[in-house]
Amino acid sequence: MTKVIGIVQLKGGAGRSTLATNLGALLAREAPTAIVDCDMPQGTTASWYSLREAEGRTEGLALATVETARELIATIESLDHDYVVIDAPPRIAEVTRAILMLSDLLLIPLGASAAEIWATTDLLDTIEEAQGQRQELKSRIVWNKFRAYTKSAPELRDAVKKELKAPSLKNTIGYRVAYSEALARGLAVDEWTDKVAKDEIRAVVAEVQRLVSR
Amino acid sequence: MAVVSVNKPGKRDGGKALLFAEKGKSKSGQIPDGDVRLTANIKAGLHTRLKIEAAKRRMPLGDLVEELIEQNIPKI
Repeated sequence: MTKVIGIVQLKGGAGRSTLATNLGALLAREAPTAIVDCDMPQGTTASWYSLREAEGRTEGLALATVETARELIATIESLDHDYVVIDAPPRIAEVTRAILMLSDLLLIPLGASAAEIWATTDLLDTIEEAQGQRQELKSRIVWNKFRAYTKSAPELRDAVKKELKAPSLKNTIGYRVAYSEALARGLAVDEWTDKVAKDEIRAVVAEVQRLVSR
Repeated sequence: MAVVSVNKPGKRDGGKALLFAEKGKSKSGQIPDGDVRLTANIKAGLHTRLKIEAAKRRMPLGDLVEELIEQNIPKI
């Protein structure tokens, strides 16, 4: 059965496309995977896919772009891939609400900034509303641009855990230029040169796989 | 892209998803699906003419701008 992973965050620049592209590329090595880019016309993920396609690197990986909730529902119903990764728009639009109802797991990329945490509060309310209708819907915060060696990052992580009552992935994505460099070339970060980034993204993807396979 | 054209049964209920999605239909100030927000500086007099024309036609400003674009600018 298809496992649908929705990547949602209302704040722009929080790392939705970074997570969607890396997750899509790594999952596609193991099983047929589709990425659905709902953030049109910006289409960062779709642009990344075009670059990848030009390099002949799309084996096992398909792309669809949608703009409305109806289009998204029809697309998800028609896909027969093992994994579907949905990159949501940065707003609670109809299409975002549809993602909450179609996903098995929601990933919420979050940087250690107050603006991103405030935006996440509204999103968590809507996720809770969806979980009222779908108890099986899991959600996890994914800490992005995480600087574990700073004093504030672990403190913020604990505060979010306690106050927002939102579980996080154990693995985090660090603050590394390799992510934007890889994205700009149509690559996953583990196809680029940063060994630490490579290891951390593999750990994130493995954790996501464990969550959706339960 | 390899696709199948049958609806998969099970926990993903498209109808339920659509109902839930439409509960979030755009409220005032939000951008409806498929739209983008246009912000532009134009002369105050032109803005007034635009508003008067929209009021005469009983249509929102955005709809009038879309109509004028459709009428005057070739499709890409």
